[in-house]
Amino acid sequence: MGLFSRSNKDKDKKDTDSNKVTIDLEKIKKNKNRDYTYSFIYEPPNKKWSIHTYVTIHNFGVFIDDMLSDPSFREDWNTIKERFGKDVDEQELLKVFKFYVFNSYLLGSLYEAMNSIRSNLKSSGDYSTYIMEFDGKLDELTFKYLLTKIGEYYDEKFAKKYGQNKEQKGEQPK
Amino acid sequence: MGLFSKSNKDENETDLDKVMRDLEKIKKDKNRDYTHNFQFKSLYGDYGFEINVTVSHFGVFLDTILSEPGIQELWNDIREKFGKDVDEQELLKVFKLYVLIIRLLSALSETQKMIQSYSWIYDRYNDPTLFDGKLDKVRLIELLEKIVKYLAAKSAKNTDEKTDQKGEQPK
Repeated sequence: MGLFSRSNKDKDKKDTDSNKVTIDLEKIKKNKNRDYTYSFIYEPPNKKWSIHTYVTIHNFGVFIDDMLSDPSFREDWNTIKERFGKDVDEQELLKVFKFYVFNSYLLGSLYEAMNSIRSNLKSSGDYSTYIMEFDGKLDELTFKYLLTKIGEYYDEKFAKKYGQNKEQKGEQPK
Repeated sequence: MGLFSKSNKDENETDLDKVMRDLEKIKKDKNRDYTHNFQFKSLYGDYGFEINVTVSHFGVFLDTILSEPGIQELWNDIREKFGKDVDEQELLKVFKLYVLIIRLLSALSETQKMIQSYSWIYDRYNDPTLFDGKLDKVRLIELLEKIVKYLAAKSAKNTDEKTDQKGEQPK
């Protein structure tokens, strides 16, 4: 037996490891209530603070299994299957369709979160944050007035800057 | 002393005092987190989506935000424009809150962009614990684009039909 040949024990061990991974994977897949979380981190150049965004879907297995019980998704799937099912294995097409729905939900949730922050900004819903986190002393009306004015100024400045960049790009020789 | 009488210690420190003291303690912790949480529950099944956006080292964020070049410039403009009407320290707090909101929106927007990138899409589709997809990246993107295009056209058609139906209704 050569120095570097594998013993039967090693081979058995490798098979066992591989089996274990497969079994673990199956165990994970069977857990319908598992969560899936994607985290995104933003760090400024000084790295002194950071913003973490966590997007979680609870009960991922239930979501995947029950998705088609939503009548509109069922209808969409039927038309997708009819239209593209001849070109690709149906099971794989179903996975792509389910991924599409999953991705749309994630994007939609992020969009809703952004909308919620924006509407809070408009309705002065951040007054409690100003009081609690910033130890704010102004009354709500003045706070709202100033926040709106800062927002208007920021938008105006951003629009001006964006317009200038656009003009500069337009002026560049082709 | 009666059973329900307050001790001297209680008299000196009310619950409100304790809460305020705790609050001050929290505020002094520069490394505390600040989190916004959003939850969305499905109408069709026992699943839901949750978004958490957290500023780590929130106290440091507040203390150092003005050292960013663009932000410092913006603050100078704001101070010049509105600083006469209101106490500058209060204006600065409102300004910092505005910057916080802009930063949170920006982080969410960047996450959206990331989720739409081809590499992110393929990695999730391919992940054996998620979709366990077997198609290659090119084929996956091709099919996804077809699905998006088809469903967008279908949705536009439905909207047009609804608009036409509304237009036909007797006034």
